[in-house]
Amino acid sequence: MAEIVLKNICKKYDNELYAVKDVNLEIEEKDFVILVGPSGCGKSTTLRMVAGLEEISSGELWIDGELSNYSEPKDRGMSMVFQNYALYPNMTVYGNIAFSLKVRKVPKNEIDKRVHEVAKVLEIEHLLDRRPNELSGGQKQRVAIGSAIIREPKVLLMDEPLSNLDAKLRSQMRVELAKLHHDLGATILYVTHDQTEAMTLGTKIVVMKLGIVQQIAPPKEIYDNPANLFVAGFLGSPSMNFINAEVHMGNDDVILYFNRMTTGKKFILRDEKADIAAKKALNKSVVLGVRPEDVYTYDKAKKLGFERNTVGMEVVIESREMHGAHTFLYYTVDGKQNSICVSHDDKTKVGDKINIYFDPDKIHIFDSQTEQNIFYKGENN
Amino acid sequence: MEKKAFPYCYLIPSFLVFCVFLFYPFFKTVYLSLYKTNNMGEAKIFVGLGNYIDLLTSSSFQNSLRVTIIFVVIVVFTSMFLGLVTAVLCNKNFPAIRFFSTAYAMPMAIASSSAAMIFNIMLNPSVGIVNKLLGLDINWLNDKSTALFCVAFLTAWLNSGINFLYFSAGLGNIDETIYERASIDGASSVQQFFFLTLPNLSPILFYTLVVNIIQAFQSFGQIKILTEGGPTESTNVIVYSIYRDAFFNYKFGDAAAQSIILFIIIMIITLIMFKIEKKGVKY
Ligand SMILES: Nc1ncnc2c1ncn2[C@@H]1O[C@H](COP(=O)(O)OP(=O)(O)O)[C@@H](O)[C@H]1O
Ligand SMILES: [Mg+2]
Repeated sequence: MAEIVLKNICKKYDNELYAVKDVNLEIEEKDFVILVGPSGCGKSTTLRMVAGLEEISSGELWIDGELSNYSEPKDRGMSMVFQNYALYPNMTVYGNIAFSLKVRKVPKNEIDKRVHEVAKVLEIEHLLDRRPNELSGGQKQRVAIGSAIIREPKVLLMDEPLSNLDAKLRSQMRVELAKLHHDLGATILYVTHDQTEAMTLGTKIVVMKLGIVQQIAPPKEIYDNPANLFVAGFLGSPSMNFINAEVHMGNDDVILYFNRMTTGKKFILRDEKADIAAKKALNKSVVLGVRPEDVYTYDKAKKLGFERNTVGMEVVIESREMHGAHTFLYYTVDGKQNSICVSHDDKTKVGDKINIYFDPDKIHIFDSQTEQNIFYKGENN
Repeated sequence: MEKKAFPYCYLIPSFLVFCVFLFYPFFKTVYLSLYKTNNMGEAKIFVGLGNYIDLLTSSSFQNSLRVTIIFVVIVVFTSMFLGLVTAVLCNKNFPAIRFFSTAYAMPMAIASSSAAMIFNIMLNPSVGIVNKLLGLDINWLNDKSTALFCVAFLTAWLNSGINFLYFSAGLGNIDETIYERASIDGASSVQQFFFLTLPNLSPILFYTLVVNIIQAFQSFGQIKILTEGGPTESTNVIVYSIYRDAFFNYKFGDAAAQSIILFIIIMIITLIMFKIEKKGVKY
């Protein structure tokens, strides 16, 4: 039922520049759609146009099969959680949660029942008599969510709801949001600049940059098959490694030469990726992209059988970060910081020189000019 | 010991100023209110509470009290209403907002006497624009039933400028996103006004109310110019009555007693208001 379709939605503010340009997006029932991108890329603007708080400059917004560009915010059947929570300071928590029902003239006992149900789900029953200024950030957050879900909206809109919380609370609320989405079966459109939130919460991620949608796909898909350099670099932490290279033929192999072929550092492509690279990028300058977990030390690479594909990539480890189960080792190539993910009992120390090996099935190649991923298969494959 | 005394030295200058301009006149007034005075305003015969008893039993003073209360109620209600409506109207961004804001704040900058002169002309029964526009023939300022209303309305308009400013500041302090949330939550503009704007403005509403009441009690210039307390005492508010008793009738003792009564009335009202505030203004 709840289906929202954005067709070529654009937004121009007074300065005549596009804040959002040609956004096409379909939100289906029970989707958890995440708009993600750096600050100022037009995420909030897009969300606010869907909510009806901002006029749509051009394009069409369809809600349940009805063209809704000009319908009133209250008639769109949505509710919204704001970044600063936007709680009504003059009302108690109870009043805040009940408000949307109260103004719709829902009977008092019905409101009372629903408020207590929602408060129970969010574990804020003991706070119902307090005012917003007597709540902590996390509690305000829950009240804001409670106020939004009580109406059982068609779509729940959230604009950076976790960004005012501290790190610990944020990861805790992330888990709860995922649970809430699952339990309520709600449809959610969620804005964040945080790629971790995007990856962990979304069923569908929309990556935006400068008002333009870069890619729309489920998290795993977008992680494994990024459309371009920007998407590849934006999602994932630590970020994907990027190394400048040129594609050339050598002894029937398709080879990526690093550092203009002089140093002998190279990477030999194999299988399907070699064919595609030969077809699309031969003699071009490209960027090799490889995620930290697809970079290996010699022993592992030998075990997996691709130690011969990478030649001469010797790097100096500059720092080391424990992340529980994994450890990340950082090194610099071409002046850019890159990393390799090793197991937590790895003995490599800062200052050590090691050789690194890339998994030939997991690498990406981006055209230096267009920044497109030459292996990207498009949305329908 | 010296160390402890030292901070008090800083208070001496302001204390001296207060003594000369506030405490001395106040106690002198209390003193005078207990005496019959001569034409020079010197205390001559001690009468104790005699002046007060005379006043409270005189029909003229009772009339003044009644007139004052009606006047204050009209002035406070109208000026707060005008200030609030204009502030709410100007809280949106639209072309010419500056022009309207200036216009609504303007009364603040107009001297009450010059405004009174202009009103005097406007209300003139034969050439005034009010009668011309309304097609009426009313002698506004010389008619017992309209004079008080006219003076009160002028005062309300004069006071509305500062109220506009207070309310504009108060509205500016309300987080705009709560209105966005409310519009998504389904509240109409009227509901938004009564559920959000008014309650969130309540601290400033209260403060403005107190200031307005005190200010209304003390209105003088426009009454002096427009009606001089008439016709037949219908606009003879206490402040004007004090002025007349002191400087026309040379009954300084009476005037002083009236001042003290006015002071007590204002003080009691203010105290009651603050008591109510503790319960009424919620956050
Ligand atoms: N009211 C406005 N007037 C003019 N420009 C605006 C306004 N709101 C946002 N913008 C511009 O639109 C762009 C997108 O803003 P926004 O959607 O808030 O970004 P995000 O939420 O992704 O950080 C930014 O460049 C911002 O400067
Ligand atoms: Mg934003």
